[in-house]
Amino acid sequence: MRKIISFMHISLDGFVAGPNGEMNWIKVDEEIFDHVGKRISETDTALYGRVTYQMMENYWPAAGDKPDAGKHDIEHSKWYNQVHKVVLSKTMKEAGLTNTKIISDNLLDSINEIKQQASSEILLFGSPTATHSLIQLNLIDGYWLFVNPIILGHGVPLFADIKDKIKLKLLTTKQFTSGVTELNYTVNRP
Amino acid sequence: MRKLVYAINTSLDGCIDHTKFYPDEETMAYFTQLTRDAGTFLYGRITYQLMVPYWPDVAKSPPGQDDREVDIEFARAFDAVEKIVVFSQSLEGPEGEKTRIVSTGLQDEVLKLKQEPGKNIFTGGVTLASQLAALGLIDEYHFVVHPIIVGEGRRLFEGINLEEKLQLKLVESTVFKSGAVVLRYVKK
Repeated sequence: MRKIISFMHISLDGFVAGPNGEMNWIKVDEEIFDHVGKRISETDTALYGRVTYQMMENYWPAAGDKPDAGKHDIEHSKWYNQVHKVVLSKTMKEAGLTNTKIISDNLLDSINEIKQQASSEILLFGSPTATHSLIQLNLIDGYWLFVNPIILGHGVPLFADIKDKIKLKLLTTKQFTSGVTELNYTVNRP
Repeated sequence: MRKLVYAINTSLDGCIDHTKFYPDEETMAYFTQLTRDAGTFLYGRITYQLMVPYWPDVAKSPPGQDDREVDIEFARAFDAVEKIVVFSQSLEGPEGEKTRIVSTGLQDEVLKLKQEPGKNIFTGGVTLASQLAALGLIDEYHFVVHPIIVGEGRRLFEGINLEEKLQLKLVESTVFKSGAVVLRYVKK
């Protein structure tokens, strides 16, 4: 069965965004882009909440065509345009979207159906609200986190409304020049 | 000037409640080393009462069959510290040759302690550590991140009152067999 992996940039105190959604503290550079690019390029399905999807939609479809587009822009734009997208939203409509599935109800069954398909792991990009819903239904199978060397004090937490303890297995870690540390876990299921 | 070093065990979701998960042997040994490198402990009331008299008692009593060697080592290192300074508005005692209770003037007290000769000053816990971090007084941070999501309990830096985001500098990361990761940072 395919795994859903939550891919997030977090602060040392566990926030994914500031109180007003600020993400300007997140450090990304060529070293991190190159590293994450490998795993992303092997992924054929991306999962988003509505807000993150709309942010992506505003940037990535044409990001590779800009005159000043860098290597990462070109590569990720190409990947974004062909990846199969799954979006959790109660308001969006699927009609008119290409290669995009909207899940608006029956989250558990809809996600399990996608998990049954034989294909790559599914990367859940950011999307804290969607992540919280998926954690509650025990649908997240791993966490791929990039811990930034900063304490925010308040903001949007990665983990919220956790009902039962979740045991993890550490797979790998990596230290980046910028001071970011990668922590890569799978969820340990009995 | 001596350094103020902060170290804490935390779950991946920032829960620091010591009853929710159990530190592995490598983690205990890591804290023993930090403790040996310290000449003074600086605690808030809650952490102080959690540590004392528990660890001095372990150090002084004959080891039981279930005691891990690493726990006894930690207890002895803890008991050997020269000085303990407790910040509390409510605690009245016991003070002694080793232990002093201070109720006001955190910043001045810490700056004075830093000027004294000797080994590091070591702190833990949440409330006092958050105040010390916000005042920019912590020189080194050691987070031992355990591979579990707990979902309840007191949180790392809960209630911290920062004027601005606090940017740190990563020094190293170390992985233990249990899957715990030590992230060590210094003040920027």
